[in-house]
Amino acid sequence: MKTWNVSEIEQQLEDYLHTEVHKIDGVIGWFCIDFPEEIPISFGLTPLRLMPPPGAIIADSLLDTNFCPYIKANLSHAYAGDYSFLDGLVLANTCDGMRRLFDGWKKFARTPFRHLFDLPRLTTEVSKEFYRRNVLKLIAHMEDFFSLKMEEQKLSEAIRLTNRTRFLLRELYKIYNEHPGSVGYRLVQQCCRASAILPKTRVNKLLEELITRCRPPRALRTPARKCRGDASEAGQNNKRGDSVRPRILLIGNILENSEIAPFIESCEAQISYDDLCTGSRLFHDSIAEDCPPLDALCEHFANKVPCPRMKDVDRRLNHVMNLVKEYKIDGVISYTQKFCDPYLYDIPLIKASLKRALVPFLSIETDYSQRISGQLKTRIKAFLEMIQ
Amino acid sequence: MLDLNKIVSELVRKSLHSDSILSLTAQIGRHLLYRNDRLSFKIWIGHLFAILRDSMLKKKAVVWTSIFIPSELIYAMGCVPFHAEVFALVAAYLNVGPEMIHAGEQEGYSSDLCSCYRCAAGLGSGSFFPVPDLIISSSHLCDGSTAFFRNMAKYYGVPHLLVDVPYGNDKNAEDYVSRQIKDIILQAEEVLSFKFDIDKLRDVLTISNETRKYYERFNRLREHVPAPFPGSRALTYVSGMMFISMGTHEGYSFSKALCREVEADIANSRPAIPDEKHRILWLHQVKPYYKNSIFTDLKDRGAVIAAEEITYIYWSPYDLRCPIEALAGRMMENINLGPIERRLNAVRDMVSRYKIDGIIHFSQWGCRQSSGGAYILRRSFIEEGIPFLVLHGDCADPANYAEGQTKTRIQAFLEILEST
Repeated sequence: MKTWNVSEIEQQLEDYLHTEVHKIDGVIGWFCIDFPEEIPISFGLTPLRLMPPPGAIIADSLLDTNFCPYIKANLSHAYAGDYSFLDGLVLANTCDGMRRLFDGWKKFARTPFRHLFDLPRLTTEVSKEFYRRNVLKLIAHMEDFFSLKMEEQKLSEAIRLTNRTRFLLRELYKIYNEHPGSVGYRLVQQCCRASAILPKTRVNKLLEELITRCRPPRALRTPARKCRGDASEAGQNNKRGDSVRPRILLIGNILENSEIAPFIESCEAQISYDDLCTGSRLFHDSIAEDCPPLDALCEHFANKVPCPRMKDVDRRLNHVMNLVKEYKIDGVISYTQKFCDPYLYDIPLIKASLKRALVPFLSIETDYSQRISGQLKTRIKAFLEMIQ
Repeated sequence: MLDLNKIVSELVRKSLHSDSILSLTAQIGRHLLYRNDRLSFKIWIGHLFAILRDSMLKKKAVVWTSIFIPSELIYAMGCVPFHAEVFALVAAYLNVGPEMIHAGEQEGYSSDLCSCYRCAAGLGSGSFFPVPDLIISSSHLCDGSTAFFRNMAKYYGVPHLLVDVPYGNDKNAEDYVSRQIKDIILQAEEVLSFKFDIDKLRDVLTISNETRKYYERFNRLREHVPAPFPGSRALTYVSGMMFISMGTHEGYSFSKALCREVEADIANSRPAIPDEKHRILWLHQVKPYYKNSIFTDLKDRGAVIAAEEITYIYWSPYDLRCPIEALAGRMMENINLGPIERRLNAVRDMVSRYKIDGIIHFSQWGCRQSSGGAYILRRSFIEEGIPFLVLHGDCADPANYAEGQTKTRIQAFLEILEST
């Protein structure tokens, strides 16, 4: 059995993105975790989260300077033809930036299938119905464009497959928390990345091999999900143990930086959990398997940990505060891409909630860089010293 | 000679440290009235201060609302609409923007966010705004609006009702918006203890339709060469009245007075600037409201803002047979909603109607929705032979205004216009 480490996973992703994916028919690009990957999977298509390296300078002539660097990176790669292998692109209506990215994509790239997936900001009955209609619209568009037919059975299978990935990632986080020395956060981070890039069967195998190295196989049974109340299993073993290292909760959106987690760990602190678009929010809530699949997808959207774009900020604040309590957090670091309005507008509320709970808070705005600057190191180090 | 700006800014500064905001704002209003003897301007100031008075004194229930919620809905509820964005820009005009923006940033609002909302957050958290009974906002056009009003509702501990306006513009989307407006009315009835009268809404929409006719006429008059009305004024009180007074008698009187004044200016050969050489279209909803030299620099080189995006009448007259659906329709007809092609087509229409020579896109710092489309528009219009300047700036924060750089960019743009 293979024992994976960070560089091996990175290599797998490199090979997949540079060679293998170009040979696959029916690759569908996506960005935000509100996109239901289960739909393309049920059609036999291959979803791929677009997480490119930072963009070329051309991005500044395509989008405004004060624009999300992740979006700019994507548009500059699309402009350069780096995404010519894509057969389709589904962009969720998550924020102003994504809407403008869709405009830019239509103008500067030649992806054959393009769809803007409209998302509500509410979770009322009316908005759930609206969401359902939009899922049906996406299905109809894909059926028509790719000459395929949706089968309910296939959608249920896709849900089981993605739930398996979610379950395995939760297991990995559990191991990470139980044995902080055995699995570094960087490995966890790369596994999350792999789960959004590699085909699900392949990433599931990778995760199983990785977990088996640390856990007995009996832990790998996937329990069937119920419609509601899917508690985080990753949080069930969260005792502090003997560790005296400060426990950090990392929150924010896209974390592609490869240096930040090792740096925090090098400062004698531990990232105990995260609430990131590239972390736990990929797997925190599973999709119900005991009800019709379309109903399950709609319920999942309405009940999962909300993105800051959603109107119901209390659910998000409660989620963050619950994580603080559950993981006995000593300090919270917000790591947000610059110019990301939905996240930046959350900061005053999160800051106030944490202040009331006497939990130190550090807010970092970054530029989708893979590196960590000296100034940022100083800020993080000062913050961690304060906690210690 | 009196330096009015200095007096006004001193009055406002004093008011920040006293309880008598209302009397001081009334004094400011009186000072402002001396600046302009036009009836339309007086109606604007009068309406602005009536809203301030009624909301500060709590004469009626105060509903904070975003600028893209049709004010007709709030007036039909019998409430005072308080447009936080408009009053934040009034504060910027009165030179208290930096102080309030700093206060907003102290609350945790990043300096990368729109200064209009940072300023409003400073004013809200500093108790300079009237306390709301309810907040009703819409999700279009920008993410900042949804989040700002949501945060303010938490700050004041009042309910926040959001009209979630989707990207799409089909039957499904129309139905979604209409049903939300109906839900909002029911929830507002409960929160504010009143009974919504659909016939009152029809009355308000009737006034709004009549007002709309005058605004259409105003826009037709502005097709005249030389331009009879300067964009710098349209971007303050005309757009302001379009946001805060639609559906009121004051709004109607304003639009009527505006048309009469512009008709008289055309008849008496009183153009907006003395020697018009270039007709400019101004894109984006705002301009810098603090002291700046942009419009003087344009005027000095014979360039006039002949029209602007914000005063474009994009919506159809309300169908009184189905008033709720008509309100939903208006929200969804916004040219900045949906794909960029919608905005592009509307701008093309403006270019043709107003005989535009060049376009300035004012890219407000912190604005993603409008500024995000600027370069796509720029490419399209440059291909069509229309010079296009993306002018970076800030509507409320003078710290983001670099006078020398702005002058150089405007000069370069005008040189292009002069050479074509």
